[in-house]
Amino acid sequence: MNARRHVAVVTPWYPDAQRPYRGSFVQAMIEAVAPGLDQIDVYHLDGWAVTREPAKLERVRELQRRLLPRALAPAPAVAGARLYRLPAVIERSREHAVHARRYAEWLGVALGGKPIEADLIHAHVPMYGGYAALENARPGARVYLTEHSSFLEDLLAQPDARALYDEILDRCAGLFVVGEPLHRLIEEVFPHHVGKLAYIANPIDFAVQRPEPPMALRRWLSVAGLIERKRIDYLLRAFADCRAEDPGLTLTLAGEGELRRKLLALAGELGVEDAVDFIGAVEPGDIPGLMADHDLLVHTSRHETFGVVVVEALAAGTPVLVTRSGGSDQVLEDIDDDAGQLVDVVDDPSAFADAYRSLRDRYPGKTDLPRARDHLRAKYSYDAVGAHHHRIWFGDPS
Amino acid sequence: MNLLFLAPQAARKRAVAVETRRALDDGHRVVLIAEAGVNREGWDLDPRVDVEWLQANAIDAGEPRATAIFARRLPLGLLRRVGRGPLRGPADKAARRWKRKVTGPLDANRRRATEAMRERHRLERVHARVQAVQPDWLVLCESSAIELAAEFVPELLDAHPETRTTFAYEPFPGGDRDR
Repeated sequence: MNARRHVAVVTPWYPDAQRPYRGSFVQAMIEAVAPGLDQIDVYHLDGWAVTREPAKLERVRELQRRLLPRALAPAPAVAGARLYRLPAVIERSREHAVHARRYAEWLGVALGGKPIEADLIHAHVPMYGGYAALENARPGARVYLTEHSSFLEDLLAQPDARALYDEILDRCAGLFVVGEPLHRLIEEVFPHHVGKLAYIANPIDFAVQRPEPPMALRRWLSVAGLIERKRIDYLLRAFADCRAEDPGLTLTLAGEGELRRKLLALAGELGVEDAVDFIGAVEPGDIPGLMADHDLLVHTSRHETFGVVVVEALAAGTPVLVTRSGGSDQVLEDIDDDAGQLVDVVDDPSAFADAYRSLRDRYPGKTDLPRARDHLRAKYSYDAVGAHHHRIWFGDPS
Repeated sequence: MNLLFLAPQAARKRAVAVETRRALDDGHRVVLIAEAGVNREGWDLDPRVDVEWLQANAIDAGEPRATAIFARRLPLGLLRRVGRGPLRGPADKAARRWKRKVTGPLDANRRRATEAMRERHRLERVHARVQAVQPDWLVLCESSAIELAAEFVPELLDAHPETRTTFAYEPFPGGDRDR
């Protein structure tokens, strides 16, 4: 008879009413792994920054020690999971190790000093979710970790954080990363833990597919935050360059960020404001439909840990024109010509415009979107990712 | 139930709007105490929410006129004028030093005094409203709500231990797809 399969997920990121898209990949992971499990408990530890003034901080902490156990009531979540939302109050600090210890401390307070019930815990972001999980796991429980952080390099530059990360890797059963850049970084810094390091994918919804492939690549879509790393200014310049030849081109920018006002101004300066639509943040559930309503996903990011939007676009049957940002290269390995085109990360927007012209000229005859989609479905669909987790956790057969 | 949402910095406006609407739809009475922000921008509240706007950010401790003239305008104005000539370098250096030694500490004192006045204002308003509403359920929506709550919730819970306290209004039926 099989043992009861009870899994706990500990995460600093999970969608909520304020940020319905933050950590949506954790929610997706839970949906992917749920079939075959008897119970999933999700502990969402949200970092809430509070004062550093010692007397006030102590009053806040005293109150939180009283309030947190009172608030430990599960809310129903996806796939029958039980969701516990736990604000971890943390004195304002740039030290990642301070944050890690507070996450662990507050989870312990919320649990009333008892360990997490499940014998198998999967934590997201080793420094935050991982350390909290290890500190609150029952003896003998296995703790697996997935790293997604785009800030890992900065984190490992802090000596305390680096030492704590080493300890976390020492104590965990396995560490998974979602893309090659993170794999390379961890391998370089902690070569003695390389045996625990492996890839795991974020699951992507392949259910929505456009009925027909795009006729021409004229309606561009970007799904990216309006922040420096995503280089939307570069995209706007490349778009303006291409639109000078084809006034029918349009660009939809899905995402929010601190550069919104500057980018609106830039679109005006470039004379493309009528063709560019800033639609703001989009709910994760609306992404597949949005992809299917456009002809081409464009992504100009400098650095990505995983090319999630690239997979989402191809899952919807939409070709891609994306920079070699690390995660995207890995996703498109062996299928880049079928799926669209990769562009080097360079400062000159004409390189992106030239890549568009090259793709436009060979599309659709010299691309193969169905092949690219099938290739990705085998790796990133909910079924594939769920089965991968079960193989790791329980040794299920392939 | 009587629900009181506390959002003294209005750092999670979207969550407050969604959760207050959900609480109203579930048949609760909802009072919100929140900072208004600039022109109440970004709020998308259900009109049924009974809102107490704090407007603490409009409070400023101010500065005596004499201090403004003799510690800021006169010395810095003089140094600016001197700095238009050949003594630009030394004048700039003196101005930087004056700002560091004199106006910097004055600004810090003013910030501290302003924050203390705002905190008093928030607490007075919250105390008055809590007395009037007698909430059954207190929703502390953001980190500054916990900071403010540290000054009155312990007494509230001692007097009314049955008061429910959470950090969000979570629905019982449904799922987080709706969230």
